Amino acid sequence: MAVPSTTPGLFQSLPVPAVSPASESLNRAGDQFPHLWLCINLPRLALEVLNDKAVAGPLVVVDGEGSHCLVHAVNETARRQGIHCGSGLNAAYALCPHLQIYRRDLHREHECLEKLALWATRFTPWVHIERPAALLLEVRGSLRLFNGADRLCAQIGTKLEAMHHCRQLALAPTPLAALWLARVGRGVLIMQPQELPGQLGKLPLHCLGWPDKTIASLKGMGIYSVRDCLRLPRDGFARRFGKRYLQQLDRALGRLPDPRPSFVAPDRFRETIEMPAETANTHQLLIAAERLIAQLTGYLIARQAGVQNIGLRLFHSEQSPTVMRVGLLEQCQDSRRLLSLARLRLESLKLPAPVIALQLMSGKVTPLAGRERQLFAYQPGLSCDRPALLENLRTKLGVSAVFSVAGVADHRPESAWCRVEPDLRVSRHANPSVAKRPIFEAEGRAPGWSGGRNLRDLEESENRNLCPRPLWLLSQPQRLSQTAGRPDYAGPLVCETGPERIETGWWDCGDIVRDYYIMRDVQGLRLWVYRERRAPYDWYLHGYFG
Amino acid sequence: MPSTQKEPLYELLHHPHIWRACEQDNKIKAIPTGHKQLDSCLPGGGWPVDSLNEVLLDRRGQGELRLLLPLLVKLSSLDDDRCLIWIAPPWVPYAPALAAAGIDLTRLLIVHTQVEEEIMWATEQSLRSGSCAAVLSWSTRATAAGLRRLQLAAAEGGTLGVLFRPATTVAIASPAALRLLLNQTADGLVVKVLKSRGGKPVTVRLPLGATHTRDVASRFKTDS
Repeated sequence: MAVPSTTPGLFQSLPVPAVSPASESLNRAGDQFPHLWLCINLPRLALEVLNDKAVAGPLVVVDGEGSHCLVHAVNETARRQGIHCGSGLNAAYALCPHLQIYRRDLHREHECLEKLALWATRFTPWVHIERPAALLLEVRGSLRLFNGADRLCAQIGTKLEAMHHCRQLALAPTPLAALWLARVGRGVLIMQPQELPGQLGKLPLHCLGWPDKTIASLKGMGIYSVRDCLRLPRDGFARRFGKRYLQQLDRALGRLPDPRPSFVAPDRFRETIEMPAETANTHQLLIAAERLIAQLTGYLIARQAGVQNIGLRLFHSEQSPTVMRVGLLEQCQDSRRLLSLARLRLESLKLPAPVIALQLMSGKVTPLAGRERQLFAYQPGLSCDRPALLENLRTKLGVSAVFSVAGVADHRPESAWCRVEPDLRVSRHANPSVAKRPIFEAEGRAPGWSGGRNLRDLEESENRNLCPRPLWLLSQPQRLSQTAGRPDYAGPLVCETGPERIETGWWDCGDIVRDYYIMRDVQGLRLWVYRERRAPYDWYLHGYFG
Repeated sequence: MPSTQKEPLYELLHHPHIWRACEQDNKIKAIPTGHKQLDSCLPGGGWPVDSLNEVLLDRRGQGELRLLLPLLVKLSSLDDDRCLIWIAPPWVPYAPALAAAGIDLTRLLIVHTQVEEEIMWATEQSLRSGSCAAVLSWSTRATAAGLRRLQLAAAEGGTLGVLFRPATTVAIASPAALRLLLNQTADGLVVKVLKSRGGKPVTVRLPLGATHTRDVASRFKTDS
């Protein structure tokens, strides 16, 4: 036997079936083959990714350049006119002058495959994208969960049908066998590896995806099926057509291992929907957003993850896109919550121009933390979903419109409080009155001063001195008119207590020199009034006791 | 024929538009207002929870917060982690005074907006969410339909809602469970109960003195 010295490893294995773990287990009767591959072949993918697939007239998708421009896919109307895949474009035109031509969009086809691969991860963790138009799912471990191969295939078929995908399914112990069987489109399910040679043998050569030239020369030799190929002498076959085709046959039969990498979902979700027509209608945009969010939640559920913010990008035909961000206070996987926030934001959005497309981008995707749930009766009325309420309010009214307040240890009335970020989880033991993290620093206050003294001390000293503070504070003190040196507020004011002198703040240019009084107006309204202790000695209203 | 004699009366009594006071659930869930004179006049002995309450006043800042302060202190000391939300308050709620009165500031949420539609929307959302113990809302132009929505939202979320409205709306009917008209006089706060579900309209005079704020706080501190 002539063994060329160039590739000894391969050619040594030519005369006998290659020894691999797979083939060993193949030979042992009754042993289960380690894998079972389900192939989803999408024969009309090139047509399905087109925007206006609903076109009634004859339509073809072409591939290649110039004179090599060949028809790649045809719709039903074009097929009836006699146009076939693989024929030249000019020939197609000759048959049908009103033909609509689309160039094949490989990028979009791949995107579609990735989307389907992501979707398929709900059936098995091991999904492989087989370019150009097929998915391979390793389903040995999933059969029990989905009640057997028939039910699983039926379920996948129904869902693909709902997504308007024309599909061909086949099940086989090796990935290549599954792919080839799927391309025939008879829905063959092979569970046992012993059936492989018999079933594969019937396949015509065009299922193998080999180049036309190879198939033509094989046909010239009178070889029309896989069985005929297998009958040929192995070394002669390898020498004439290349060793890779022989390897492919061996892999399909399980004589050689055929490892397939698993599909890894992208880190972030990004999906675009093109609107059927330019629109500024919020309702139509919401329908598109709903579809996108449903896809996003599918993606999140598959990864057991959540997002904390999403972005919606609205594309216009002649302007830069409008970007809309929706932030959440905690990670979320719930489509209803995301949708209600998106709705709030979309409804208040002023669109500069009609929208042609909508894109959803997820923020960082983080694994969902475990959550405690009650085992028994769940009382919906008593749920404390404060984050959801906060998100709702903030999405509609703006982030700065919702806040909480805290005291600050400062004697100046206007600096003795600050806005703080609302507390999401209240612990009963936290010190309630000390400012934790002011989000909007009062201007001119020395940093670090607020942490100097605890408000409790201030409170206690206040209690000792009995200087009550009003429940309402005016953000800007209101100047009062005077009659004979006494302040007026819809009539003369009567002094109740005072003065309380506050003279402080010289260190940060916000110094105040004031005498505070509690006064009553004619109706009995209690006011907090002060007088500047420097020229022009004006009276101001600073608060109401409410 | 007894059935024909009964029929008109039966029809009348079961007409869906007729509400009879005696069918009222006697046990009205309420939280004491903290003012004894007022509690004794109110059917459940306080603010009815799970419903909308209205406080009408001709001038803001004339004692409405002092009226509510015992309630807020009580609610913020409950062990249920629900928050107190103030929607569109007319001025800055002054944190040191509120803390001194005994309100847990970490439970306080303030929503700042001027637009009437947003005020109503935020109030409805807060009432319905069930995560608020009390919703205080300062509205100027609430419509009858809006009030009805708020009342339903309060019942659904099990939240006590207090809506502050101008006294000019006294004559307009409202679905609120309790309507109070406040009037500040030189010797105290006059609270006129315009409507209380299951009760009668009365007028109560509350002596709200200068040191009242602190009294209330200390009273509730010793209670708990």
